[in-house]
Amino acid sequence: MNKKIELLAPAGDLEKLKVAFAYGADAVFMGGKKYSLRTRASNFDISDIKEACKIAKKYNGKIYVTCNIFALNEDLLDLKDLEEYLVELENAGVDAIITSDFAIIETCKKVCKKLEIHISTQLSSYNHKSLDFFKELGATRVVLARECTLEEIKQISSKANLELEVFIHGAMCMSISGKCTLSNHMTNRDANRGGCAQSCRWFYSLQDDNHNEIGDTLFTLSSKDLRIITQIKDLIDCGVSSLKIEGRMKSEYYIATIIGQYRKIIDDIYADKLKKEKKYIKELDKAASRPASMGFFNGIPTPKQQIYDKTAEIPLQNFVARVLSYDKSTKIATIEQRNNFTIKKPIEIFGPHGKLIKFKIKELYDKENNLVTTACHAKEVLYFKIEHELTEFDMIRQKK
Amino acid sequence: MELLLNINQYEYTNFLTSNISTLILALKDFSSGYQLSYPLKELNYIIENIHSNDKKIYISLNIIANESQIISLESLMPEISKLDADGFVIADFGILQLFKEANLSSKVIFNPVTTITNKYSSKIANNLGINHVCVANELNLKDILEISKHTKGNIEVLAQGYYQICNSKRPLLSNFFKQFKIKNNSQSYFIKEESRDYAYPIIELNNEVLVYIDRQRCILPYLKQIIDSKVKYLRIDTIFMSIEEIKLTIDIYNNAINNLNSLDYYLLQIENSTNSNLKCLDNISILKKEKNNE
Repeated sequence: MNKKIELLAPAGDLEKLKVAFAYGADAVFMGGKKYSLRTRASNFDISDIKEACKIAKKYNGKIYVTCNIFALNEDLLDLKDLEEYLVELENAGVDAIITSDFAIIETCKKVCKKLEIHISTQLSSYNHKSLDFFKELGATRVVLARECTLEEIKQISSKANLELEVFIHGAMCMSISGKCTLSNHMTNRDANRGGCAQSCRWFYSLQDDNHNEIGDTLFTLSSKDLRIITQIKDLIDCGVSSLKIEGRMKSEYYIATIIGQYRKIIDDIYADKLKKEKKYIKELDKAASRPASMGFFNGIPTPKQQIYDKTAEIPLQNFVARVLSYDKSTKIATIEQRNNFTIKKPIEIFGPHGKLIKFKIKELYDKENNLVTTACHAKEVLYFKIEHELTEFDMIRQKK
Repeated sequence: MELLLNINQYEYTNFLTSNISTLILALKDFSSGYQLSYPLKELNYIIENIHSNDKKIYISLNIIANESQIISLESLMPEISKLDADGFVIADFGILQLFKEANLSSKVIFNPVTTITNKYSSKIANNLGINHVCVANELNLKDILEISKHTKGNIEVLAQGYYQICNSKRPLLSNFFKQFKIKNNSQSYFIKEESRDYAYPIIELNNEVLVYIDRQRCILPYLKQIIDSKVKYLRIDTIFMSIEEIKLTIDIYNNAINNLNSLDYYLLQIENSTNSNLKCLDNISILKKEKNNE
C-alpha cells in the first residue's frame, strides 16, 4: 500500500473542527467568509482560520479552505482584496485552497508560494485528461466528480500525475456539481455562489407534452446520500490520496459519528482487520437523516438510488448532549444539552478511538443542583454521575 | 456581429440559405443536448457543403466526458485535427486538453456552461490560447457587458432559445417510469414544482438528463448595448423550436441588428412567434438587466 490515505472531514465552525480532529480526521476543509459556497454554514473568519491551523498542528493535520464559488465581477471588484485574502490564508498556515474559479487560481499562483491549489468538484473532473489540464494550470490535487464509477476512478488514478480526492460519504447533488442552476431560476438564489436552495429536494409532478400529469404522483429529484465502505480498500489500493466526507452544514454529532467510523474503517483496512460492512453501517446510520446508497460507484444509478418520497428522511437517533468535562475524583460528567431527553432511558455515549458505552442516567442535575427529569432547555449545562471515564469530545445519543 | 445557429433536431440543410454566419453541428457520441448529431465520417462532406454555401461550421463536442469517452476521443483526434471546421465547441477540461495538445486551442469555442462568470476568467481563457468563449447563461446584462469590455478575445452570448439549467448523469426519467411502473410515450416531458405555475422541459438523451429553462431567453431589448460592447457572436439555440419558428427568429434578429432603433417592434414579433410547442405562461424570458435582490 502507498502512503496512508487521508481522511478529510468537513467543519462548519471551530467546535466541529476540534471534533473532527479528535475523532481521527487527517485534514479538515472549511469555508472562509469570502469566495465560498455554503453561505448558510457559519464559516470561518481569518482569526478562526488561524486558530484552526493551530489546532490542526497539534494533531499533525492539514487545513484546506474552500474558495469554490464561480465568482461574478462584483465578487472581484478589486483583485487586491482577493490577493490579500489568499496571502492571509497562506500566512495563517492553510495548506491548500479548494477552488473552481480561474481568477482565484491565477491569483493564488501569483501571490502565494506555499498555498496549494486543489480543484473543486465544481469543475467536473471526470477523466484523466482533465487532470493533465489542471496540473498544467498549477493544481496539486483534483477532487473527482461524484459521477465517477470505481472502475473509472481506478483508470483515472493509474494515469494521474497529481493527487486525487474522492467523496465517500454525504449528500449527493442529483446533477453534475456546478452544472445545476435550478435554484437560480426557481428562487433567484445563485447555486454556484453559495445560495443553493436545494430545489431538487422539493416535490414535482411529471407532465406529458400536453401538460397532463403522468402517474398521479409527486416525487423529489433528490439522490440518496453517498456511503462507501467496502470499496475503500480499492480506493486505497489504486492510489487515491484523500477520502472526503461531505457536510460543512452538519452537526458536531454527525462529524463525530461519521469521522469516527471512517477512521475505524481505514485503520481496520491497514491492519487487515476489516469487519463485515453491516457492522460499520449500523454505527454510521446512527447519524443518518437520509437513506444512503453507493451513488455511481457501481455504475449508473437505478431507481433505488433516488429519494422519491421525503418520508424516507427519518433520523434513527437523537443527538442529546455533548460531554464538556469529567471529574475523575467525583466521577461527575458535565454535559451540554443538544436535544430533549429523559433520564432512566437507555443512552449511548461514544467518543474518539471507538469508545461506546451503553448507560442509563439515574439522576441528572442542573447548575443549581436541582434534579432534572427531562433535559429540555437548549444548551443547558447539566451533571450526572458515571463510573466510566468520559472525555471532552464524547457525545451522547438516544434512540428515537 | 455574427449570428450562430445551433442545429438541434432538423437537418442542417434546412438552414443553408438562412442569413446566419455559422451552423453548429454536434459530433455523434461526443455531444450533449442535441437530438441530431453527425458521425465523424460524414463531417468532411458536410463541412465542404456548408463552406460552399458561404457559411462557417462549428463542431460541438460539448459532453462532460467520462474516462472511456476521453479515451475514444483521444484516438479520434488525428482525424478530428484534419477537419476543416472553423471551430470546435468544448465544455470539458479534458477535451480542452486534447485540443491544446493537438495545437488546436485557437479553434476552440469554450462553453463550459456555468463557468465563465467574470472578466478575469474570460481573460485567462484567452491566455490559454482560446479566442472565443461563451459566457454563463445565468449572467445579467451588466455582467455580460463588463466581461465583453475587458476581454481581448471574442465573446459569445445566447441570444434566443432554451438553455440547460441542470445536467445530470442519472437517468431520472427512465428511473421514474421504472419506479412507478408507468409506460408513457409522450414526445416531450416537463417537471412542475408543486407550488409553482410553470413547468420545465426535461429530456433524457444519450445517458444524461437535461432540464431546461421554462421559456425562451431573449436579449432583444438590449441588443444595441450588447452590440456596442463588442460581443462578437450571438447564438440562437433551436431546441424545442419548429423549423418555421427558427427561420422567423433568424429573420427577426437580422432585421433587429440592422434596425436597432426599432427593438420594441422586433420584441413584439418574437413574443408572437415563440412557444408554439411549449405552453408556458409567458412566452419569453428577457435577459435581466441587473442582479435581482435575493
